[in-house]
Amino acid sequence: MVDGKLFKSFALVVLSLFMAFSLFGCGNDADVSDGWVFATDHEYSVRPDGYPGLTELYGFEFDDVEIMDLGITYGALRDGQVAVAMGFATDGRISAFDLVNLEDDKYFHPVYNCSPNVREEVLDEYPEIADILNEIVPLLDEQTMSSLNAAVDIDEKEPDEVAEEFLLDNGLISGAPPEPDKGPVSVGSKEFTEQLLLGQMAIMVLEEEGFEVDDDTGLGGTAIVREALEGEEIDIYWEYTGTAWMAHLEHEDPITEPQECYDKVREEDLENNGIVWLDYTDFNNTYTIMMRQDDADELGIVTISDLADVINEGTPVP
Amino acid sequence: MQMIIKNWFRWLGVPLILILISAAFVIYVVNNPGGAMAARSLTYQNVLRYLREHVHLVFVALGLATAVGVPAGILLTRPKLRRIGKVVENIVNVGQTIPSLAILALFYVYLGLGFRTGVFALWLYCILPILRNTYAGIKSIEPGIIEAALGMGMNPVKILTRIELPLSYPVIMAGIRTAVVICVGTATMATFIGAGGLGDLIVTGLSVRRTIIILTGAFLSAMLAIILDYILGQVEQYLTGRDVNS
Amino acid sequence: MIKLENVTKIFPGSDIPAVDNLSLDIKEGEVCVLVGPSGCGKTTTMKMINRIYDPTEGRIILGDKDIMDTNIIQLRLNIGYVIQEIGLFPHLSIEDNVATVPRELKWPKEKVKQRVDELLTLVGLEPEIYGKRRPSHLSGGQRQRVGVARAMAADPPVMLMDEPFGAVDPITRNRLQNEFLRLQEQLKKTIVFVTHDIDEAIKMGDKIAAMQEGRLIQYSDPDELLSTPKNEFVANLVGRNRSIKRLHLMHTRDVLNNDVAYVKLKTPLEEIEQKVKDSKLRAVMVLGDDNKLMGIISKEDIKREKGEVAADYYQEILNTCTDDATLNDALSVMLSYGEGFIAVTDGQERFKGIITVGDIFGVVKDDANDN
Ligand SMILES: Nc1ncnc2c1ncn2[C@@H]1O[C@H](COP(=O)(O)OP(=O)(O)OP(=O)(O)O)[C@@H](O)[C@H]1O
Ligand SMILES: [Mg+2]
Repeated sequence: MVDGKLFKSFALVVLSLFMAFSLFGCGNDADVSDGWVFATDHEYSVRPDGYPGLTELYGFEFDDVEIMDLGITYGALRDGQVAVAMGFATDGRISAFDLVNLEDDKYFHPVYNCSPNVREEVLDEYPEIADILNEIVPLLDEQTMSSLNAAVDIDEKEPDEVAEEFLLDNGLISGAPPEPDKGPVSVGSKEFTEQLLLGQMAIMVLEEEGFEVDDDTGLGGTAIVREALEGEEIDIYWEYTGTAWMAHLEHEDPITEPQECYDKVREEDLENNGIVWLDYTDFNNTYTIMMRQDDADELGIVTISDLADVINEGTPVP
Repeated sequence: MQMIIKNWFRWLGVPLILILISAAFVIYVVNNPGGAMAARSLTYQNVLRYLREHVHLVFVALGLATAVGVPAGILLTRPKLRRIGKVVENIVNVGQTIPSLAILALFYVYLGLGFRTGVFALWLYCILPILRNTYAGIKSIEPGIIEAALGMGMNPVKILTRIELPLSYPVIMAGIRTAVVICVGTATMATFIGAGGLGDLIVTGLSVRRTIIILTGAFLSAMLAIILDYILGQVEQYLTGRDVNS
Repeated sequence: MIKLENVTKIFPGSDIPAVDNLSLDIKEGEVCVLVGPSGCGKTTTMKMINRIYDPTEGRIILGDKDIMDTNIIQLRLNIGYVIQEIGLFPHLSIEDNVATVPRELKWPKEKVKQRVDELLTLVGLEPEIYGKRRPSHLSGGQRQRVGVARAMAADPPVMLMDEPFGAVDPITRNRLQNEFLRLQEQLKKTIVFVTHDIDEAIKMGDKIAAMQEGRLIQYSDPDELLSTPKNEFVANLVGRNRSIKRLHLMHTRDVLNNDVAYVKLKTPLEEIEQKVKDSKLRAVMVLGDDNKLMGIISKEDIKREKGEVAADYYQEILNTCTDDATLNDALSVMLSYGEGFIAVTDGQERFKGIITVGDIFGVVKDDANDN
């Protein structure tokens, strides 16, 4: 009875496949393990100035590391799926989700203060641009940037609305319709919230001073925007000191002191590439290590060293 | 059984060779990562962990998809459900065009992140070809054959098990094999929602621009797809190829 | 045995009935042929008997039970079914196909094997050669034979056959028909046989049901259908040369001519000469013991002297046939030997009489006059 046999073996194969799959599956269900689990994005997980260096410097190990998209580490931490997560210091979700940045007391993370980058030729033609943009810089401390980001990410406002409101409040623009008599100059940006906000701010203050401005914000990732500047497709964008030091100027060792980093980058970028760094912001959009505010309070954790101690003592996650 | 022993090479040899090639590749890249960054990512421990996670995702999703897709496909061909069969077939065909990343993102919103969400999205994604092929395979059987079976006094269960399933089983197997390939590929997306797998390697490699890391992830995932597809192909051939006269 | 009472079938979504108020009574052991143009409802009528379709109205009685009251599986197991599309199971070998119903009935293994071999041999397929093959490795005609063998496997008393010889060339078809008739002679099954070929209907049927657009127009035996078609439709269906078709129906025994001269082996020469002279054929038959036909002596044979008695003179006779051959067969033999007559014997070669071309023309002429 070939037919019966055929069917039986068919059924058997399907069944055993399924059993094998399921058994294999249930055997090591690695879902959201307990303990000190750390959420990180892909890049941070391998960069020398990321997870590997962090644990080495502070001398501790997490129980497990979950790699995921950068955008969802905040949510994963809020929802209790991990105990600690990495993020960016000025992200609006940190305060909105009741998270707290742990202080990098050993100055491990490189600094990422932000500064408008302008091409030298443009600045030669319109030297006033430096003063116009430098007016915004001192207003941007970590608190301010974080809440501006939150206005976009959490309250779902448009970046140009938020930027305009901020500049109006600080008396940098009048709200009158622009009357361009100079330019044009082109402003670019990367494609995440903070960059869009900064780009919009630059556009608005330049327009206020009578420039015709092309809006090239949201161009793409770091490499793309930088190439656009070097290729003279855009004239101005905001860059972070740490990024330029390592990515554009191709240094292997990070600098963790803001002024030192800024000075070195400024000097080298002008010399080699004809790119002028204007003033730098107080906010430092560096990597940050976050916990839930409640957990941090309960365990008395303020710095990453505190976290390392707690983990090394074997204290369980609250 | 005899056939399995006789063709041990086809059953064991070829997969073994593929596995050896993969192993050689892994040994090579771990020892020659070409930089400190890649070296951190490409350790035996990491690569094996990602591979295990990947296999884990694929097997569970595929097992569940087979266990649900085949019976569902059969049910849709029953006379009472034939009407909705057409509708479901269309939905399934449309469903297949939704990008896998979108499905993952969607389920992330409702189910949170991690392995379970990854499995669920993958399951949904690979149930489609299995269900569609089961349905199409049974539907494509000449009505005369079914009628002859009816006329000879077979009951519906016997017709299903003795006629319909054996006849449509190459098509069903083809569906499962399609699902395997889709599933292994799509599982690399699961990394975005923290479900692990070889996608961890690929996306990490992309974000730090280290080709060797990307290559390792992509190569292993391709090898996994080839090996699984090959084994299923052998099983299929074993079950149909027993006709000595053909 | 099978009785259809006012059966109507209307398919869902159609207003015209596929079968319209049809009543039919089929006796046990009879072959009832449903004949009519394509789409007239033959297949539908047949499929209602094994409940592939259920009638919209009317009842069908099999044996003495309404088929709606019988368990559907039991009903079908007892009805052999040859479908129009043959419907062999492509994934099973020929043996397994034929063994389907016996296995459903849980016959012991040995008995199934024996039966399968027996049936394959019966339909002219060597079990050793064909048994293990798949249906796709058979010719169309061989497949049809397997289809018939499969339907007969469990020796069902009733058989439904939908154009079982539809897919074969005329020569093979003729052979299959003859084999079928030979079998039916012994098996005496009750058979519903569907065809749209009127010649096949006339040859195979004990009764013929002529159908048109779902209705039964005429239900009678073949002879009657040919001689007295009920209306224009049946007359057209039967066609022009009805009288020649009757040659297929009539057997030699029906027109046998006994008035013929014969001699025994020991009959002396003078008597033979006398008889030959008197005979219309200018020849005499020579019979052996028990009236066995030995040969023939014609005028030429006795011209030269060879001996004393008939045994010394007779020639072998080739233009013979049996008394159950049709007139058509007899006529072909006559034509192929260029003789004006044929000697008829029974199964044991005993001489029964002769038939001349004139006798056959007589039959055709009678008929033509009837019209
Ligand atoms: N399953 C069905 N559903 C709807 N209509 C049908 C179905 N089967 C047959 N019919 C219709 O019923 C009528 C009779 O069909 P049937 O198959 O009985 O014809 P037939 O006499 O066997 O013809 P043929 O010689 O071509 O086989 C046709 O008009 C056909 O279209
Ligand atoms: Mg028909």
